[in-house]
Amino acid sequence: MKIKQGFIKRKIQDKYVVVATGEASKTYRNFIELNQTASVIWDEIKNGKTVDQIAELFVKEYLVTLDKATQDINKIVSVLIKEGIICE
Amino acid sequence: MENIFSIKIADLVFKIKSKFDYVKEFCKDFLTDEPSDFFIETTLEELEQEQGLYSVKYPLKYLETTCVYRHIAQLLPLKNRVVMHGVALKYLDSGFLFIAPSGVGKTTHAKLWQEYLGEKVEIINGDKPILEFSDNGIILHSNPWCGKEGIYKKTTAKLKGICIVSRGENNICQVDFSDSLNSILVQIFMPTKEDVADKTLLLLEKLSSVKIYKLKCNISKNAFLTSYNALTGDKYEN
Repeated sequence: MKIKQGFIKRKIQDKYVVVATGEASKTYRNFIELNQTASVIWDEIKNGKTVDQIAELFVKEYLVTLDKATQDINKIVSVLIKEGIICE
Repeated sequence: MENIFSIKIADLVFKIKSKFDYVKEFCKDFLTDEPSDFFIETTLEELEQEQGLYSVKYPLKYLETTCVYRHIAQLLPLKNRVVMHGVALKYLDSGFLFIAPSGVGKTTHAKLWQEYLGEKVEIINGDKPILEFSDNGIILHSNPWCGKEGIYKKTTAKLKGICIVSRGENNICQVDFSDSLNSILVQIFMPTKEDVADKTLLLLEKLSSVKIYKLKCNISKNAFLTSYNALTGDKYEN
């Protein structure tokens, strides 16, 4: 799983936005807004982590079960896949 | 047919090597002899790519103007400037920016300002004004790329307020920058180079220093009064 080339994330005040640059901007003209959790997931995917690894990280850092964490991460990942921003 | 000339836009000088005379004619109000900051040259391949963006066939000489615009827009963030889709208007010494998707009625609304305020109002650019983020505040600049209406005036103004326009019963309210981020982001020219796009987003954050409004309006004097009173802080008297 990785973020396709050309997508960048930036914090603008209290929000995180993702925009497409380069080749990616030819097919993706929109932008998306990420919340704090989605932003952390984004960073971990960028670091090469899998959903399971990110879920384990969340269990260590938040009051959350492994099942719930995996479920939440998958939800965000599937949106990003649907948007064509990350590939499996 | 090949032309080399320079234009000054947003206080920056672009030296342009164009294939058609038309580009120079198109930019005639902005020609300069000053030393250049950037050099731009178009290629036939780029003109073909440019054509690919439109469903209607355009003459190559026209496509070259939009191609030059795209080059300029890609370079501007390097000098703390961005292109924004909207109508930039100057009233007395204040600059106001009306933004909305195409067809909502930004130009129509700006024309209401002209109708009721006359020559005190100038449209700096009716489609793609340039915003300069300077130590002195945010400056609105003109350029000849101004959309189908073809309205621009070679002047500048300090940005005092941004108005996000939509249709509806006349009403205006001030909004937080972060609540208006979506509406702003979709109207900004996003460069294709990653570092320049990143710089653009960095610059955009500075828009939080100006007042941002959401305006719902129809086409009437009341629509003008609604935005005028809020944006200028004055009460319109005729």
